[in-house]
Amino acid sequence: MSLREPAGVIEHRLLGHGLTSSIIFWLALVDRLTVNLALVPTLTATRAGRDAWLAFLASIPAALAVGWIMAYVTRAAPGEGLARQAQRALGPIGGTLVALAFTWSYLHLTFLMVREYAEVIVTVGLPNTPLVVIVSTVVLVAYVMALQDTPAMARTVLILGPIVILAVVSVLASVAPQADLAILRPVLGGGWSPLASGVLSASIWHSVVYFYPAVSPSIVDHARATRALLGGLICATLLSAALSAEAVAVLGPLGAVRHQFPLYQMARLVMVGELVQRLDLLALAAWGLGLLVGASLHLHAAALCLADLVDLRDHRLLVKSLALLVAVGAMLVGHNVMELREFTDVRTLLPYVALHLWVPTATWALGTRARLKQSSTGRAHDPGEAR
Amino acid sequence: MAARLGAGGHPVHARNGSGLFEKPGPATLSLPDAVDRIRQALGSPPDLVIRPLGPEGPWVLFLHSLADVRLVADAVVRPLLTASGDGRASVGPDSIEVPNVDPVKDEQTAVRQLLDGHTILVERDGALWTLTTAKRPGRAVEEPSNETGIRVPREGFTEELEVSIALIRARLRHPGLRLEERRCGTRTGTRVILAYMEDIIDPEILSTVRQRLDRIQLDGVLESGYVEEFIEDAPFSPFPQVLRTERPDVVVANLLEGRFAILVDGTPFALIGPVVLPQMLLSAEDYYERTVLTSWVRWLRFAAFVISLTLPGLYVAVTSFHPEVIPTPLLFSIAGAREGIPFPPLVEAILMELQFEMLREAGLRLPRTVGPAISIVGALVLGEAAFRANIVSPAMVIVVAMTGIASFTAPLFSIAMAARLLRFAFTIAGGVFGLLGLQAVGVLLVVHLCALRSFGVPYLSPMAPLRVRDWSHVVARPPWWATRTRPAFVLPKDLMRAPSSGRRGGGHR
Repeated sequence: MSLREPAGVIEHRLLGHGLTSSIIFWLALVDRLTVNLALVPTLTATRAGRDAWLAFLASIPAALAVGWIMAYVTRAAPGEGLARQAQRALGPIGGTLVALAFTWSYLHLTFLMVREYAEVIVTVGLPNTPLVVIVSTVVLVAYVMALQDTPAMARTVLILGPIVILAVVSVLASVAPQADLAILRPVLGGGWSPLASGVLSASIWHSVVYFYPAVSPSIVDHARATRALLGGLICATLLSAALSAEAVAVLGPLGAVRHQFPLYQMARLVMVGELVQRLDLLALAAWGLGLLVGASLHLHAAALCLADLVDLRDHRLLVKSLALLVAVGAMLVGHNVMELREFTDVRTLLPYVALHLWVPTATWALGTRARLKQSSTGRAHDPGEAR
Repeated sequence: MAARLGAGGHPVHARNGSGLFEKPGPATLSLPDAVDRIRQALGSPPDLVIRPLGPEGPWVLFLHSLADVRLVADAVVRPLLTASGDGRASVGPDSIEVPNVDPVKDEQTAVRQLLDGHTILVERDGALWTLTTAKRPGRAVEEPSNETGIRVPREGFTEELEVSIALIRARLRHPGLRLEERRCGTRTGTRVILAYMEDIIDPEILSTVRQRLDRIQLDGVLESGYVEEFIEDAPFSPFPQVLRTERPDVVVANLLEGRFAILVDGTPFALIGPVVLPQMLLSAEDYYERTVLTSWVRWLRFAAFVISLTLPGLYVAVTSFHPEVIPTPLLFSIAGAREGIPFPPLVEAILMELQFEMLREAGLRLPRTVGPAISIVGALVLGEAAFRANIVSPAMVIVVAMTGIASFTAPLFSIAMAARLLRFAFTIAGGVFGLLGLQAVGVLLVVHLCALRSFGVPYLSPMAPLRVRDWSHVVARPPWWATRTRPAFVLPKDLMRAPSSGRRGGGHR
């Protein structure tokens, strides 16, 4: 790259070859929101009842903490993949264990997302199509996306992300006239305990942004990317709060808990004049597009992480095997949708996520901090450095 | 005694009426070695003229099918004969009156120059000179038939390279315009011109296109499509990665934005790169008409492109799998119209689409006088007959007709072709998996487009990667006085198009 080139050109050349802050923002927003669309409002409403929206708002500090920790461990070694970063912080064995935990978590979340979506599609759209066909179709698309290099794959979110958000906002806006806000009162009517449980339920799923360390070698500007990551998480949480509030206000506290996919149920009720009615397709499209982005992102992250671990230059060699694993895993992850729900309940999921994600991440962060401290102390004692 | 010898050394009489080639001469003359070798290299063709200008030379060689015979007579032969008659010691290139006289280093080059229509002068001492006398039969400058408009220049490129270059130069009078010539095709020796603005184009893009042009290894290049397939990034993609145009104004506009153009001898289609997808849906007229109107029309074209891709698939998916989303009165109407139709919507759609495509193709291949008539009559008759025979429903006829009309709004034929092909994928996916299928194909398409590049520039720029400042170059056109920059996604060396706004307040006071 020539130094004589104007700043705009240099910036644009980088845009074409890396993950910009706008891509990171949309990835975090869509990935987080898609999980919320599928699972969280119902789960949160189960815990917090009519205060589910408040639980989401109260989970924002947790979202910021999770996002900041992910960015912190990544910024310590910005050009390296997840496994290398973890090994540098925790040594070969500790780092490998962290990398393996992350890889498994990427894959497991993809099992859940794909299976949940397939169950809904079978229920509402394709009742005669075998589940395995739907799972295979979704995994096939995610596989093709994950085969691309990281910037190309991530750029799809710049096209699909706004469509997802537009669809969600359209449904929320269209169904708003039917909302009875009085149902949301009294605030904190059940006391603090249900709210705390709801906050925990909402906070667990902030961990989906753990894709960030895996794609960090492609990030153009880490400082701006961190802000974008946090911004994406906050926007997703705010949208989820609005979704929860509207789900309770439209479907009632019991309806919000009972319905498997509240956005879809609300879209069925849309009736704006004679023209706009029943936006079921729009709700499904929003979720489906977001899910495909999320599933491919996690599959891609798993391939990157594993490739980094086994020192494989081309992650694409692993994508096919991992996609096959995802298809099989999605079929085996539960017998039916109720089993999936049981797994995603906070009582089951909390120890699981803590073991697979929070403990490894916390250890990694502490290791990174110790390493950074050690290196800064070493520099201070180095007479050459001091001069 | 001067004589004109045809292939094999036999005298040939010129038919140009100038009289210069009609002097009778001896039946046989010994040719110098160089002339003889040139003649043999060409296989003694009947259109090769070998004109000795004295008993011992010099010699003038040209192909009368390719050269301007009158120019050869007036500017080459006559001055040389005059000089020879004056008894000058040296009768050579100094006496010639054509603009370009260049030395030729070997006989192989001389043969190539002859095949380009130039004249070769062989001096007595064996020195070779090439004299620019090429003149190829060609058509006049006409309006491009594939890129018509209401408020657009009426000039289009022709098959003659010099005419195309002249049309560009006439619009771009700047010393920064560079024209690099290459020969492509080991047998056709087709001239290929790479045009760019030296002070604007990105050096990396320029180097890439040069490398790709130099890599062309083929015996014949007959159209710019040959070159296109060699230089594009993804040859198996249905989407064109260079812009084809017959319009010199479009080429100049793109050169000014920092792109390159490739002109190929023998075809009126110039290639422009790097390009992005939204650019494929822009027309030249967008830049000449009023900004608000053209911006609206652009949006209409974008919507029409999406409709032409997805409408049959969406109809099939909704009617087959998700009828609940259709408003009840419309659902009853569609169900009533489909009563008695033996095929599922997918088969119906495929049948109608295939029929439409075949009619369109037939309309293109038939003679121009009957093509459109056959297409219209065929569509009307077949559509009506299929509807009356209960093979297709009227709703499907409307859907296919709307799709066809939407696909005609694409200004570029190659992008409309891509939409035609991909439409079948959407329709089949919608018919097999409903909304899920549409989504899957849609996402795969977006993935493909995001991965696609044109000379290193992401194909979906400036949407992905996102650069809102460049949206004005594709999404909606601002007035010219507000257009101060070039599109950064083309990576121009000089980003600024104008130092400041040319529009000032004041005016009539």
